[in-house]
Amino acid sequence: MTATCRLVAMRLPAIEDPSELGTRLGKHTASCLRCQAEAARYRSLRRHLAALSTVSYPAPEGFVPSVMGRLSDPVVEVVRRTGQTVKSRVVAVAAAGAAVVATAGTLALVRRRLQAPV
Amino acid sequence: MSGREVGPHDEQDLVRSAASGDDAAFGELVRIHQHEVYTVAVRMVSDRELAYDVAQEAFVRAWRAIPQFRGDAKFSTWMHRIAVNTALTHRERRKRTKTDALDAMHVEPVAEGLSPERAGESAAMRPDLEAALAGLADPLRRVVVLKDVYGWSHAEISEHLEISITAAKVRLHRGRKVLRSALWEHKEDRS
Repeated sequence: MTATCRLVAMRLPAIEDPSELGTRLGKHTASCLRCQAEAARYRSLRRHLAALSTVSYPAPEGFVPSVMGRLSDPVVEVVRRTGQTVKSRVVAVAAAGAAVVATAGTLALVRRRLQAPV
Repeated sequence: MSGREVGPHDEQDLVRSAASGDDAAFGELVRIHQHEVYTVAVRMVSDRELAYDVAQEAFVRAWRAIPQFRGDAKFSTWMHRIAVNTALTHRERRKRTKTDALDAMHVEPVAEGLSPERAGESAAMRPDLEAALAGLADPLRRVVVLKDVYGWSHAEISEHLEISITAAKVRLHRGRKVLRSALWEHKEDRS
C-alpha cells in the first residue's frame, strides 16, 4: 500500500462518488486495483444503506389501539386545544403560583404594619 | 409499508379531519404510517422496546401539533421528522446494553420496492449491515441513518441534531469507516 493508497482510503468515506477524489487521487485510483476495490466497497456500503430505506420493521401488534388510548389523556387534549406544550403550561402554573404567594406575602406585611402600635 | 394505500387526496382529507379533532381520522393515519414511524424509531435508537415508546410518543406529538400542520410537506415527511426529533429527545433513556441493541435486530423486517435481483443482494448483506449499524455509537449511527438511509442533507442533519455541518460530515466519515471495517475487515483477515 503506497502513501497515495492511504490518502485515497482516508478520503473515500467522506465522498459520495470517486469522481470527487480530485485529479491526482482519481488518476491514481484509475490505475490502482487496491484503491478500485476500496472504492467499490464504499459504493456497495452506500447502496446497501440506501436500500434499507425500503425495509420496514412491522410495528408490534396492538400498536394503533395503544396510541389511540394515549390520545384521550386529558393533558394531551388540553395541550392540543390550547396549542401549549406541557413545559409552557407548567411554567405558566408555576408563575401564577409564585404571583399568588408574593401577593399574599405583601398583604400580610401591609396588614402587620397597619396593626403595629405607632 | 402501509396496510391500505390511500391516495394523496384521501390522505389530505384525513389530515384535515384529524386537525379538526376527528380522532378516527387520526387513527387511520396512525394505521397507515405506523410501520414507517416504528422503523425510523428502530433505526435511530437501535432498541426495539425504546423504539415502541418513541413511535408512540411521535404520534402523540403529531396529534397535539396537527392543528398547526399547514400541509406544506407530505404528512409522511412531517411525521418522519417528528419521529426523528422524538428519538433524539429519548436518547438519554436509551438502554445501553449490547444485548438490547442486538435484540432489536430480531424484528423481521420487510423489504419493498426493490428489483428481485437487488432485493436478494441486499437481503444477503442486510443482517451484517444491521448488526454493524446497531454497533455504531449513537452519534455516528444517527448521522449515517439520516444521510445514507433516508437521504437527508448535511444542512438538515445539522439543524435537527443541533451540531455544525462540519461535525455532521466528520461523524458520517467516521461512521462509514467503522461500517466498512465491520463488514469487510474480518473477511479480509480470513482470506
